[in-house]
Amino acid sequence: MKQFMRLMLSFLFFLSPGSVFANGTFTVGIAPHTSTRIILDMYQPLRRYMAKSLNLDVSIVTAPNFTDFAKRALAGNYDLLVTTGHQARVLQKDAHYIPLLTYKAVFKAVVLAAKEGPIHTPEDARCMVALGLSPSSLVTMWGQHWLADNGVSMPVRFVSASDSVAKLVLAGEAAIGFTSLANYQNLCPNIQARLRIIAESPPLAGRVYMLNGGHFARKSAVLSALWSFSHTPEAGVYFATYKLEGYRKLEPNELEAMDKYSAELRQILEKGEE
Amino acid sequence: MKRLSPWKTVRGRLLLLAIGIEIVMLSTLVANSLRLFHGAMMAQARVQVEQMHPVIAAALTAPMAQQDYATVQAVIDESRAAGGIDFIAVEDNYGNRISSSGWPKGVPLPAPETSLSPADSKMDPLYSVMLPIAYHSQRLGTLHFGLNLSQIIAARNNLLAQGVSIAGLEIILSSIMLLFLGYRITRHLTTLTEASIRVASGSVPPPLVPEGDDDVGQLGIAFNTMARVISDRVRELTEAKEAAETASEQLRHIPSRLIAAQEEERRRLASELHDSISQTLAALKFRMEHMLLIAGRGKTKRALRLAEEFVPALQLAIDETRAIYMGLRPKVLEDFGVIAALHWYRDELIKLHPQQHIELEIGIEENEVSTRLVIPIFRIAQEALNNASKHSRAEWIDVSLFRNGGGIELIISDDGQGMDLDYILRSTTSRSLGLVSMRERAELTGGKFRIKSIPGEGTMVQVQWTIVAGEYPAPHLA
Repeated sequence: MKQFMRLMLSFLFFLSPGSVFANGTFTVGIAPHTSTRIILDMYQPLRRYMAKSLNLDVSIVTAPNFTDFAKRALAGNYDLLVTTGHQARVLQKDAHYIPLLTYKAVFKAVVLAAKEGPIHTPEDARCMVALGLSPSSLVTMWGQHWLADNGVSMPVRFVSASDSVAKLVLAGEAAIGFTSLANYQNLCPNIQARLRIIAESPPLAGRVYMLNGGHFARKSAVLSALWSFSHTPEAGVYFATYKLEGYRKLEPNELEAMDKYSAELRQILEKGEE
Repeated sequence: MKRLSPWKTVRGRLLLLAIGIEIVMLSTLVANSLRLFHGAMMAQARVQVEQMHPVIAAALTAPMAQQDYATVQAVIDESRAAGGIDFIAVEDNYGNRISSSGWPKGVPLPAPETSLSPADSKMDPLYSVMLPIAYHSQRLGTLHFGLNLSQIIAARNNLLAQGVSIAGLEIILSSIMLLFLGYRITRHLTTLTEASIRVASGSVPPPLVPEGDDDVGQLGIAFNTMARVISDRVRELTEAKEAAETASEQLRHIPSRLIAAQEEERRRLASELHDSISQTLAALKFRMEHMLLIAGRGKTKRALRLAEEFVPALQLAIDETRAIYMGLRPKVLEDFGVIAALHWYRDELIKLHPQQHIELEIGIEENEVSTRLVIPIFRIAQEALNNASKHSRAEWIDVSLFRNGGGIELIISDDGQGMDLDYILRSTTSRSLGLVSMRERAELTGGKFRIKSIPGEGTMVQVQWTIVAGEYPAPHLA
């Protein structure tokens, strides 16, 4: 039955108009929410499944930072991408990407500090340094809003990966760090045990699967492939390993709720900040 | 002797063979060394590639996945700066060159090497490889890089040059050593060959070849022994041939000599008859005619006196007649045998030549003399005694007849003036006939005849007969 389903998906995919991918490869862009190797490891089961389902070479790529990722996405470099809600909203609005689905797991941003350190409240971090992934990262944006809401002004340094954020905080390079709850939960237990969450965001639109608008006609095929993948044992392991709990449809206005952050993102992109 | 070409000699062939084998072995050694060296170097290059590839690929994985080509460029620049790599280039999954270091843009990348042959003297010093950049099973791009093998090639060429030089030097030294050893070992063979060729050409005995304890020395001993034997055999054959030729020559002259001997005997007999009996009888006839004339005149007494003188004359005639027939075949020989005949003849010669001393020594009994040898012994002794008495001017003449082992030996020797045997035998004189007659009598009866004569020192005639088992003694004495 599964074989039949895959054949059908492949058939539908190729019969659909405009089914021409660059150089015959289906490129899946993943926002650099963590280190590149972890991203590559994480999305291999999906890559393999989609390659079989779509009968195409599927390539998982990322970018050095969120800004570059956004720029490339805006340039239409990805056939399918996975990114945070504020970027997804920008891409939906500005580049006609089509939202497909997201993970069941709640996406939150968190503020981390060393468990044994002196930082317990936002005021404790005053005049110190905060770490974020990128100015265009959702968690960083939320973090900066959190600082502003608490009347704390402090410089924010940007690093490339969330695990680096945790390690640098433990190393005393910064007082606090902004990352996602999921990334925090994926840290090594010994590192996780040495950190403390001093603030947590409300649920945000997390990693959203967006289809390139040029592939609108293939939306159903791709979406079917994703749902089909979610029912495989490999996907079960994948969701469990990364605490993603599975796929779900986007809630109405879930992306629209990101407009505050997407507006900031547009400004950052216009400034050219990374 | 024709001189052999160097490559036809054992020494030359051994030398050529040894050098040929050495060239083959050294060539194989050098080629194998080069092959092993090249194999090891290529294996090392492959190991280097296998070691470099994961390191560079790992460094490129993240920037390739991020499509961060500036970082890709930085990574390959740093990797190439470490040395040992001529160029590095990275292509994406679509074959587009993303970045390159050490290779000009726009110039196609070299095709990756599939194999490297050590025999390829024009081997490119650039060993280029093409390997995937992949993470798990996801291909992120392609890595091209080229190792600079110029040091390996230089080392190989250096090894080749040194190997060829060492091999050449070894061949030269070996050639000198082999030449020296070959000369030392085979020099006696040259002498042996020359001696063999001399023997083959009939020049015997050849000069002695060197002898020794080694194989060639033993060969020299064997050759010298063989040469001596051949020389002896050749000498014996030569002597036998000369003897046969002499005998043949003598046999060829036997009829004429027999006729000559017969004529000589007739002449001698006529002479003796003319000089002795004929003269006596002529004188007697004259005296009888004179006596008859006187008797016719009636002078009887005077006639009787003359007749009385007839008796001594007749007695003389009788004696002379007796002497003649005794000379032809003495009666004593038939009546008493050869020993008695020799004694008789010795006595007769002494009467004729009283100044000569003739000794007769007999060491055999008459009944031990075979019948067939009685007359030959007597005639040979008679001829030898006659020659010694009449021609040698000898003072002493010894005659010996004795038993010698299983045979009989007769020796007649004198202290006379000797003679030139070659001259005598070539002549046709009575002495020559006498010598031939003696030899023939001896050899016809199975005897071995020898005569030795040295001018001024006398002559010796020696005859040896072998008594055949079962021969009967002289019948008249049995």
